Amino acid sequence: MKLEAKELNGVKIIRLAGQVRISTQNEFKDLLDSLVKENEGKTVIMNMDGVIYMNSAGLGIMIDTYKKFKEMRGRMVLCNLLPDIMKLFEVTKLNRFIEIYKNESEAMSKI
Amino acid sequence: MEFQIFKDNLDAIVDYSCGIAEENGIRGDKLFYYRLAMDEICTNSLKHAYKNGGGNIHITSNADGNYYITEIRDYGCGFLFSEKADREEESGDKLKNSGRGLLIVKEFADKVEINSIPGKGTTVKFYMKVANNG
Repeated sequence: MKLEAKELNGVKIIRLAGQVRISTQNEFKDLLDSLVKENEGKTVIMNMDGVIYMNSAGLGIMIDTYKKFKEMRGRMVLCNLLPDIMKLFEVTKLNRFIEIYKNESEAMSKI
Repeated sequence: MEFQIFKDNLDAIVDYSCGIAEENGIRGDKLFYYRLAMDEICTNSLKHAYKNGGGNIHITSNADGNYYITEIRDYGCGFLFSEKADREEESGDKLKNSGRGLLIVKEFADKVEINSIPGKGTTVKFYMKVANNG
């Protein structure tokens, strides 16, 4: 898993890349846990265009991260999901809870 | 084919099965869905049937007309459908961190059949439509 961070107009944008599966899920969880700790009370946009595979354990980690951001009065929004990953969020109805935007510009305009 | 499944080799078993599926016409989005289904079924066997301790699974696949059919059998604890449904109903938390594996299999496969006997094990058979190249 790879995580790249940049800041645009005071908003942190994280680009995630890789596959979330049983062999990488602990690494993914550790990456997102650190992200939550480093961004307490802030809004973070996660650009998911490099995430080519995710299973239900990965979704569980995303939900956990979303809840942690909320508990710490922050906000996590997603953008640039590949079509198959977007379908996964739709099928599990997680798109009803987690904000998902088409791209970084749309996410920036909505936060 | 019989495999001993552990956390360390689950991805390799899924990759191997996907390779065979691809040779049999499962490609593109369908391959993504197939991988997800295999991943979730094998994870369920490891996590629930064998309580993360590892155990044997038997995988068979065959192409039948328009479908590629895969059957995964474990010899773990099995479950009663009524108990499983009760557990799912009790959990009103729509943002719970787990429990979506079977839902994903049902949504992404074209057809799913599950047979589970407590104390004997679980068999999951799923069908994927083969891409029509014509």
